[in-house]
Amino acid sequence: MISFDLQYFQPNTIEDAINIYEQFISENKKPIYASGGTEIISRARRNEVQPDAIIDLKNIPGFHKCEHKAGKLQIGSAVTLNHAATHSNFPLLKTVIQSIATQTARNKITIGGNLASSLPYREAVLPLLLTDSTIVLATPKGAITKNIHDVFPFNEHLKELELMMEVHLDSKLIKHPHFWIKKTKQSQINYPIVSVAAMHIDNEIRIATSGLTANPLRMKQLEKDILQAVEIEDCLDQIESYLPSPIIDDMIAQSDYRLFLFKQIIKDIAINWKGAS
Amino acid sequence: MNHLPQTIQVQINGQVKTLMVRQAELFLDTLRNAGLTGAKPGCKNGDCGSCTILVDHIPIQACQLFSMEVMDKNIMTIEGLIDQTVQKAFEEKWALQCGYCTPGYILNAYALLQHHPNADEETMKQWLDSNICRCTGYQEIIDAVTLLIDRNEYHEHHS
Amino acid sequence: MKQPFTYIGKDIKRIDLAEKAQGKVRYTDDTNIAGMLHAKLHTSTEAHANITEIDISKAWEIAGVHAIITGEDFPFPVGPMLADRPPLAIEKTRYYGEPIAIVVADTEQQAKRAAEQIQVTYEPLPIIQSPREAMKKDAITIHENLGSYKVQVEGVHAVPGTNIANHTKIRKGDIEQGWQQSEVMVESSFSFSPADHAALEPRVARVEILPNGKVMVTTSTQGPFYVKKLLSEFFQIDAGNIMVHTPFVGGAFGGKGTVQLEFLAYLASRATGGKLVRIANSREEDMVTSPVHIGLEATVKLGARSDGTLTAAHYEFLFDGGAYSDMGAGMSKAAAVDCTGPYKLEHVSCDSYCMYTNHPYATSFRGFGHPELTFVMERMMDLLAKKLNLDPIQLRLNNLIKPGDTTPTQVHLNASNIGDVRACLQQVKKSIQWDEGQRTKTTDGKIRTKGVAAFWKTSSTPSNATAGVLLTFNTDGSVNLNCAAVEIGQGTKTVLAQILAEKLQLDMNKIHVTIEVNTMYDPHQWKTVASSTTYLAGRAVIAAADDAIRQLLQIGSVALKCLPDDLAVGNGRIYLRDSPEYFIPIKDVATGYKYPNGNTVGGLIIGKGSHVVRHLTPIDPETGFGKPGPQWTVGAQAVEVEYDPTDCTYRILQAATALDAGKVINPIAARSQMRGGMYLGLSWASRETFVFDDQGKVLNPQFRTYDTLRLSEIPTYKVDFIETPLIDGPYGARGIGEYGVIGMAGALANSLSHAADAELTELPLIPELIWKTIKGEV
Ligand SMILES: Cc1cc2nc3c(=O)[nH]c(=O)nc-3n(C[C@H](O)[C@H](O)[C@H](O)COP(=O)(O)OP(=O)(O)OC[C@H]3O[C@@H](n4cnc5c(N)ncnc54)[C@H](O)[C@@H]3O)c2cc1C
Ligand code: FES
Ligand code: FES
Repeated sequence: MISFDLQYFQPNTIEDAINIYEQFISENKKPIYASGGTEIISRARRNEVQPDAIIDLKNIPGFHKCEHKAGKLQIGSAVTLNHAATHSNFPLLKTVIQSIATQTARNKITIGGNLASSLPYREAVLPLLLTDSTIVLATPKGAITKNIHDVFPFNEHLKELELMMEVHLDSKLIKHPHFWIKKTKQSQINYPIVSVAAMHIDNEIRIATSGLTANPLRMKQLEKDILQAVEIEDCLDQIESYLPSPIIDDMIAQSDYRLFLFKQIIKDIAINWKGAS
Repeated sequence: MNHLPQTIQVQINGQVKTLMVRQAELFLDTLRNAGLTGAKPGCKNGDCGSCTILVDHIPIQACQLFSMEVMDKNIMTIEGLIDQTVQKAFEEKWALQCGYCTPGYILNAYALLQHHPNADEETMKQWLDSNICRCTGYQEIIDAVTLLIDRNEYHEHHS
Repeated sequence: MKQPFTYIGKDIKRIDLAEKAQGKVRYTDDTNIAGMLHAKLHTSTEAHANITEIDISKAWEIAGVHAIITGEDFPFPVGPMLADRPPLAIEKTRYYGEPIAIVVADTEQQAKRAAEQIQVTYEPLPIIQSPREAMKKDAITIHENLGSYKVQVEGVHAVPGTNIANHTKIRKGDIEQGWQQSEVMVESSFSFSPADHAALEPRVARVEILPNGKVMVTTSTQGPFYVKKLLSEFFQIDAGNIMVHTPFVGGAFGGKGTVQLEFLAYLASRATGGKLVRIANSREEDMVTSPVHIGLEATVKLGARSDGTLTAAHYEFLFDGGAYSDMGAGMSKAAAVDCTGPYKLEHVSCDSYCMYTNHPYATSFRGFGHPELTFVMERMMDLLAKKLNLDPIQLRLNNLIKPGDTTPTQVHLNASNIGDVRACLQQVKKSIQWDEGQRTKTTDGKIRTKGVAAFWKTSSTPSNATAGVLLTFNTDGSVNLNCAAVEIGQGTKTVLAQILAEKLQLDMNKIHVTIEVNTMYDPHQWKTVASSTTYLAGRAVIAAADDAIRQLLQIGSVALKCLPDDLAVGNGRIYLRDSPEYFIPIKDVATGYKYPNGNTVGGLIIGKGSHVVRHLTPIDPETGFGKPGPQWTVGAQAVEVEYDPTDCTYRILQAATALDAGKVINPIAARSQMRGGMYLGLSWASRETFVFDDQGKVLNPQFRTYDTLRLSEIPTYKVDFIETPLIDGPYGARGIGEYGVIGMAGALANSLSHAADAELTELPLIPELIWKTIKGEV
């Protein structure tokens, strides 16, 4: 039960969505975009967010697309995780998604909501980081396309009013060999202690991780160093220097255990990689 | 527009209903206030599945839905599941004790069988893992749904 | 051997299956009554603090508010064993989540909104987060007035000036002599934090006070009569004026065996002039504000001869009872009286304490202190086996308790009052394929290991625990069974109906059991806890059936013109024993026998029966001498895991139980009870716990982060029963409801310790804990 009152909108165009948002801002009120709405509901129940308006993006045409077109996989931000898993044909994305929440919850949780989540995990972004996706943003000045590495994490890069419309990525990349591992506190359903996605693309290894630090990360330096390293242990020893922020230490796991698991996964990936190439 | 209650139209168990709801209201509360108490609150946080209903044939946790969102949708709750096949299998296998998780499980299992009448073990478990049961130890629930798959209950009628 | 029974021992279908599968069953909160008001709590954000101000002015500004109640409106402590808990905190708060104020409003939303507006000013106090800290000499006392609290039941020994809510002492034999006989000793400490019952139906209650003074309560409880008793005692209401109605209950596991929301709903109704008020927990409140599963810190020393014969044992149990004693004071005692587990020990000493801490308060949890003590004792047995280089099962077999031995409280065991734990252990050894290897490696580098636990438990009922049954007949000859046993999912009403069917030789579908309980129409019953219901209510059914049969034979003798002794009852008839073709249907006499000329004799047949536990005695405060329960149900369990040494993760492959059920009345029901218990035990042992921050705040009061074992993670369950009849049990049956849970933590921890080659002494057994233990950081 959400105890405060709010206004609920389901605009049919992006312009309307942005206009409603603007309108509330101008009245000094707090609007919020929603796509699945699950996180907003959970947080609003506990008054962790108290929006005056919910602007539900689900009804906007195009926000539901999940298709390969012009050599690109294009996924709308209101596409549910289950829909993306079954319709993207992207094996790694499917595997990653199916480790998030439960089958039923994934009928409601969306790609956009997962990427813009206030939680540190946002695991659906990992395959998108690995494939150097582009994000189409809606802004008051119209749609703009940006490299995912320039706009993610959204909380640091998106301006007020801006929202995610779509993600695009090169269709050719989706079938490349991949690696995925998620470690949880105990039940598989839990949030990750740490999860790592990797892909072999054109003699490179690409690695992205979630759960380790405040934001999911693409680890480009580590990727390079692994390629060059004679002994993988050398990379492992300095793994903390690859991280932009401290390792999370919380009730899911303490930081030393997180680090231990992460190192072990990276070692597996490296050995795997060396074996494969 | 303001934040006053709104009227929504929604089809529940085959009947079109017009309901007044707070805009912040969650559909689980709306359903229960309307006397459809088969959907149970176990957590109201999207974690337990005991409030599972079908929205346009897809299992959704009613506690994770704004009532405003279901406008014009087709809803099925346990009260509307006239087909007794799944219920009978749960009876046959004793797949319940206190019964509190049961409506959510039955609707989820029903949807599973509609979408995947021949679900393999992995798919079945993936779906059924959405619900929490604290009483049974889960074996009987697996047995009940396995029974339905093995008997091909939904294959012949629906695909 | 020929099966002499028609209904007992048969897989009879649960009587509530169909209704539940249809979702038609109504639980307490499934009834929406026009005009009903809604109450919501404002709860504490501090774990230990003086409350300097409660500002309710903003809350009154919310439309629809009828009343706001704070501690001052009822400044008297309540509690089942020791009255130490004000229903709403007064002057200070002792745990995070403690109720501070109730708001009553027209809608739940208004009540919640208003409750959120209440501003409480706190003055923080030092926080006690573990029972060992609570025991320290210089620890702050959480209850300054401990000495003035009223003791509600015999056997609670609080120590004023300390944080000890109850101290139970066991002194059997001569412990010094025991140590002298010991050639090897093992000593170890164990601990786990509080966890939760997490029944899927959150607790909920409704109260209305009628103009004539009658208090009408509807609540999801394991003890409708207990609610009535405590409401009457603490609010000075005549018991006869209280009616408690319990519809279907959505799981309980002990957590609904005490009284909390009912008090609050009563206060809320009273404050609104008696209006009908509902109070329903959110999941978060249910986990933290309402009572929880107890925590423990224990140290044990065990002595044995070099051949493995146990010689002496000393136990120190420091239970984390949380902020208030509730049933925690009973569990600490229950763990003491059975501290040795099912082993013969001549020299035993035990000090078991229920400690106050600034954690949510604990109440009974399925197994009542026994899953906890068994984890500790069974780990000790494995430690000893390792030290002696003995097979863990062999060590146990060598030391099992048996008829002729005495328990820690010096009860003499005989062939009836204890089951056959040896047979259980041998069965479980077979089920888990013990002899095929207890530690094997798989080709992919995993390690498979097995662990066992043996256990026992007596029901710590009050010495006057009772149950009653009323039987009435319908004009079609069918019978109504009324009894206040609560159906919490365990199938108790089906089992009672079976007992009645057997006694009357009447078809199950001719027996109508009222599943809901109403204290106005059902005879008194203590509570539905302690696995005592089949015994107590089952005996009451037998007594009531005998009473009805006596009446039926009497009226039958009139109708059939013979002596009552010539007759028998069965198949809905009263018939001549030697020529059953001469009979009269029960339906023709159930409401009186009418002669052909219209004269009628007999009147209604009403069968009544009751049973009370007998010969129980309080235990001696200095030695523990006394008889705590009527009998000991025993069993053994085993677990097989597959452990991955690279990251300390594991899967539970198999879990086996062998239990001496006395007599299995309904095999399917019994097996499903066992599996459910095993699940709960494994879930608790492997992942369930509250996580506290350093301010005593519970960080995971939601299923999202309060982890439970999921469907895809269950092991293969194996359940077997041994049948050593309990002479005075109904058809020889013993209590079994709680037992599936008891040995699971011990067996899992033993198995994993073996796999990881590290002695695991804490719960829950998450991979990180194993990793830390191996590194020597625990
Ligand atoms: C049981 C459970 C388990 C979970 N486990 C995991 C897990 O293991 N790993 C993991 O990564 N996550 C997990 N989650 C979290 C889940 O993925 C996130 O909460 C997700 O945000 C929910 O998506 P939604 O579409 O419902 O989001 P919403 O509630 O709609 O939105 C979430 C946030 O995103 C913003 N937002 C939504 N759409 C857009 C947009 N188009 N542009 C900009 N901002 C937008 C909203 O304003 C809001 O702040 C779990 C959730 C549940 C319920
Ligand atoms: S009540 Fe909706 S998922 Fe638990
Ligand atoms: S039967 Fe009680 S929760 Fe499933």
